[in-house]
Amino acid sequence: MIQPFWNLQNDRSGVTSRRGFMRQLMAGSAATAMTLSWRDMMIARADELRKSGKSMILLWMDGGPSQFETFNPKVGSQYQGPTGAIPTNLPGVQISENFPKTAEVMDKIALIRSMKSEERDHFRAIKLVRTGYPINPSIQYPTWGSVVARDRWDPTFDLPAFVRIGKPRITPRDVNSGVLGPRYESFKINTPGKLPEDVLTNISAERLQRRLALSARLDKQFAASGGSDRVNEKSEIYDQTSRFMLSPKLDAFRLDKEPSALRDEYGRTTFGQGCLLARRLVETGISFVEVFSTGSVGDAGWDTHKKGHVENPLLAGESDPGYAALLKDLEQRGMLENTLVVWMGEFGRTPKFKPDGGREHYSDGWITCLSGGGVKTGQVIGATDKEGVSVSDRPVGVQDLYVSFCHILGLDPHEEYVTDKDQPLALVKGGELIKELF
Amino acid sequence: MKRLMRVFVLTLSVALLSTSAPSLLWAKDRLDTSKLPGILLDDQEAKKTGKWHDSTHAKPYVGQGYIHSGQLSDPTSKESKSVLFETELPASGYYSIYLSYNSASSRAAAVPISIKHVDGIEEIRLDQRKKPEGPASFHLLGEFSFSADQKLEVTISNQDAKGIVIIDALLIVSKEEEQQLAKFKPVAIAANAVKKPAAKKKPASILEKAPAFVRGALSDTDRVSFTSNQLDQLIEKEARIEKTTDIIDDEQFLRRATLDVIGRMPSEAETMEFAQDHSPDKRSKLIDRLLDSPSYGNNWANYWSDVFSYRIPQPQLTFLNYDTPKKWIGEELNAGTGWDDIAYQILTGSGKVADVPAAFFVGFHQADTSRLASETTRIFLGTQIECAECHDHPFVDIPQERFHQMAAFFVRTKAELPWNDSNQIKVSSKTSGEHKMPETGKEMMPAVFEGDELTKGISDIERRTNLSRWITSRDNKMFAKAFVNRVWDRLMDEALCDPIDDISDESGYSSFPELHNAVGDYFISVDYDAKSLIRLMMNTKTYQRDLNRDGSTLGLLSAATPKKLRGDEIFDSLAVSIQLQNVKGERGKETETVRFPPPAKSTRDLINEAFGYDPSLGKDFRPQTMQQAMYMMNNKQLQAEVNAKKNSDTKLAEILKNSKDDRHAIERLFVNILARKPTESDMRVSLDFIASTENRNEAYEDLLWSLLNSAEFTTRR
Repeated sequence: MIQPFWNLQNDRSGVTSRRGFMRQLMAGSAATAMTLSWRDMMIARADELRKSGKSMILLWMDGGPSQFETFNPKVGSQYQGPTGAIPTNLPGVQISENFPKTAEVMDKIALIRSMKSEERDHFRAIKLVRTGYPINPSIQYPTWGSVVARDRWDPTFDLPAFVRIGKPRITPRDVNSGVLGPRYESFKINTPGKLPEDVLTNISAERLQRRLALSARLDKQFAASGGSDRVNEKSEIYDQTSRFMLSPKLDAFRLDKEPSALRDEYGRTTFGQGCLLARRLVETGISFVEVFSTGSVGDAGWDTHKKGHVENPLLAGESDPGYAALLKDLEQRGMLENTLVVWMGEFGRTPKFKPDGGREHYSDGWITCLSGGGVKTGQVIGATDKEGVSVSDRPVGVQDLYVSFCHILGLDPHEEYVTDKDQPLALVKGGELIKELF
Repeated sequence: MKRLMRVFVLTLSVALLSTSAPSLLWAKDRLDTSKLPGILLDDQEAKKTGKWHDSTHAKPYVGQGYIHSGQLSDPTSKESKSVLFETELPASGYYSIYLSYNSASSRAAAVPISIKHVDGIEEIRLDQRKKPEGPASFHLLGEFSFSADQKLEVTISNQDAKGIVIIDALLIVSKEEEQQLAKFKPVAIAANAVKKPAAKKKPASILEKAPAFVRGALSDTDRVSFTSNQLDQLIEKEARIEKTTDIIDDEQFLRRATLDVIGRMPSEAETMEFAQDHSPDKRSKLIDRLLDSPSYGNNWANYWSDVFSYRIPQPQLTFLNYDTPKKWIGEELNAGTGWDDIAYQILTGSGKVADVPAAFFVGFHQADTSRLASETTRIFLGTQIECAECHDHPFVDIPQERFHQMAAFFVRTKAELPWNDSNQIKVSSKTSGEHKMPETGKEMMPAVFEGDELTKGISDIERRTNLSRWITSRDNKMFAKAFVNRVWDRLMDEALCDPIDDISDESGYSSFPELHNAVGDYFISVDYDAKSLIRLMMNTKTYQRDLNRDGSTLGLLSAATPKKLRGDEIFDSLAVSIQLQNVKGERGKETETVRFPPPAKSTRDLINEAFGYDPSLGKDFRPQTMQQAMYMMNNKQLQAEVNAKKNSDTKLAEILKNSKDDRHAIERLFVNILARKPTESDMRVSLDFIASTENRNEAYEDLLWSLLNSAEFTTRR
């Protein structure tokens, strides 16, 4: 007889009660008086938070944008290549000539030029930068949008809390809601201005209501024969879904009501129109929107191993107008104070470049730009050395960035939620506030 | 380093000068490569196509000499030829690639070199009229990211090379070794001073086959006879059953049993046939019939595929397709192969997934030692050890060493992943290497928990065979109990021990330990035959109990609970009820700019995406989502079947055409969608609805839609 694997030395009852407690917390829909009131409390809190809380827009430069060709040109360095630098509306601060429109709104940006991490492989870096946690094969950390969605969750709100616009360039390198489960998964819009097919009903609202009412009446039979939990759950989710499908707020997903000149200003690209859509969604009360920039051809995106001299201006051609227009638009509408806008990718690129301007992966001195949400903008944080080879001043780590996101969004980085394996997990582990931002 | 190189170039040219005249002394012809870091591949180790010429003219060189594409006066020099260097790398990461050659004005000005790396293929042209930049005769071609799972390939040809192509050797240096390379002092040495490499080097990996599975004999004392009646009695005793719900009627039993065994609702014909059977043992006969159907294996293979796949991360460059392993598991289950035999094959499988589907486990996990250790114990032993990878287990006493001893069983597995096609993933065995503790670097020998360590240097296949034999041994009750717990969860919608995959006494919560042991022992005594276990359970009264209608609190196993259907069950039910077709999407073409087109999604894939759930997680993690609701409410393909028009060729049109009146049509609709006749209340609601709706066709479309969107349709009751 093979013996049990290992001897238990802890107090078993202690373990049980801890797990039991976590389970009870997870089972939000258990119909006991106590959990109901707890749930009501959560609803009330979420509503209040969503209404008063700040939103976040993440502009994701998928593939790892070159710092030399974006926000940290090193004119005079052997590594700069032919791309020039231009002055911005911040005296003394120059950025790449590929970003002329952003140069005019540098006063609305806090530019970090000294991001540093250990990860130079796409998958590992994407995991780290989009979740705040280094890769771990046994835990699927949730992407940041899901964490914010969980905090801002409001069952009375018609629309999803977390929306993604555009697609990652290579699907298996994606991160999702992970241990937070499907409720906090992003709602995905592949083409801005167009809702996914299944959202749209091919029948009139009146007929849909008629069907829903009939289905609910037939459900009564099942509820009476022991299926009441399932019927209640269905009724809640169908209620939410049909409210979403028929919501007047659904107009927020349309772009045809925006003035044509404004649409032009954002740029008629997936990314540019995505930025405009992000503004509309945040305006409607959505808490987190991420917009993917992957260029227009192929799946290389910002991963410019080849033809950097050709690719970088093209990529900037979609990123620059969309980004600049978004910051201006948000400010004009008085929304910038309550919306954190972040521009970044998973890492930067090597100083050394090939004759065609291609650069490899590099994670010493990459770029992150923050705006809005009460951040002190019009400043540059950190620097790389003269040649642009490594960070020479104020290295900023990914966890530092996440602690700062928490501070801006009013979240407690030490707050813990419970994973699908009953493990408590803090929103952020480690890291220090980037004080210069406040 | 630059200065050093300059000094060397000088020495080298002196060497060239001094050896240009014949000498009686031992010429210092060769470069001493004994101090070179990294992987050195001499031209002799490359695969050559076309006519290449050996030479020792320009000195020093690596190894026995170098090869060239032919003097320009030689007509064969114009023929196309190429050389392929390939090697496996010890770890993924960045490597610098250097080529050794000698320069001259007759040399090629544009040697085409292509380097396959993780992010694509790098095509470069090298000017061999210029001197190599060093060190020695080496020249840096570039730094690229490579994966340990994929062979490094460098191809050099003479196409439009403009002169003589020289190939001496290729050097591959990792980031860590760069410093050592910088310190390298090139010395030319006499030919005889270079030791000939001893016997041919052992290949880095080989394909080993495990011996065929042999089941241990069953002693008479371990033989257990167990009837469904006895199981009911044991349940009653251990679960202290007092009050229970009634036994379900035939209709409900048929739907429940059909869903559980073959993964779909029964068809209208099956419902009718079962209603007309009046034999007293019709339920056991149905169970036998269902277990004999090939759909039984397919359904449970879908389940097992979910068990594995939900915890296998998608590799970066190869989309995992589970069709091949699913088909194989299904065939084995249908053939009545024991779970011990199947597990043995899964753990020891080597070869290409297309040829040896069982190799999927190691292959899809990309031979990741840690994941294989934790998933093996989780799935086959119902024991979670992954917490102990980085530290001693927080809740129970699992020292970190235990995890790493388990990991050591898999340390020599190797998986090669091609791009995009997971059927081509190849599992083989490394011929060397031991597992090391992450922090201390201490070598860990394979050992199972409290068992003895295997000896150092033991081969991969011996490691995995040893582990599999121990896991599937009749003495190892955990193996049988882990399987039983999952089948119990599927059939009773309540695992015997929660969490489903953590059943060790220390961390699991066996509600009924005696029951769990007894059913486990039975499973062992029937040689791990899943059909026997399912038959035993489904013939119990416990399995056939009704849902709890009146809402009073009944204990565990006193009543059935409504269970959400899995994605595959929903698709297969829709296929039966409204003839929904599995439409295959088209996969985009792989082009130079789109290297990883996502795979096409079929109707089944889309439904699995919306309704699928990780079967190892409890009910709290099977939430109903908006995506599911939207699929059932709006999906175009599905809605096209909600069409009553005469010529629409739908199930609904057929029902309307062949029904004599509304009552008959409504009854058939209920039987087709919910596998039961409508109750009086259902009939009244439906008739009222049809009467109050102007357009009869529209009314029936609304009714069909309402049934498809009912909570009942996606529930096993």
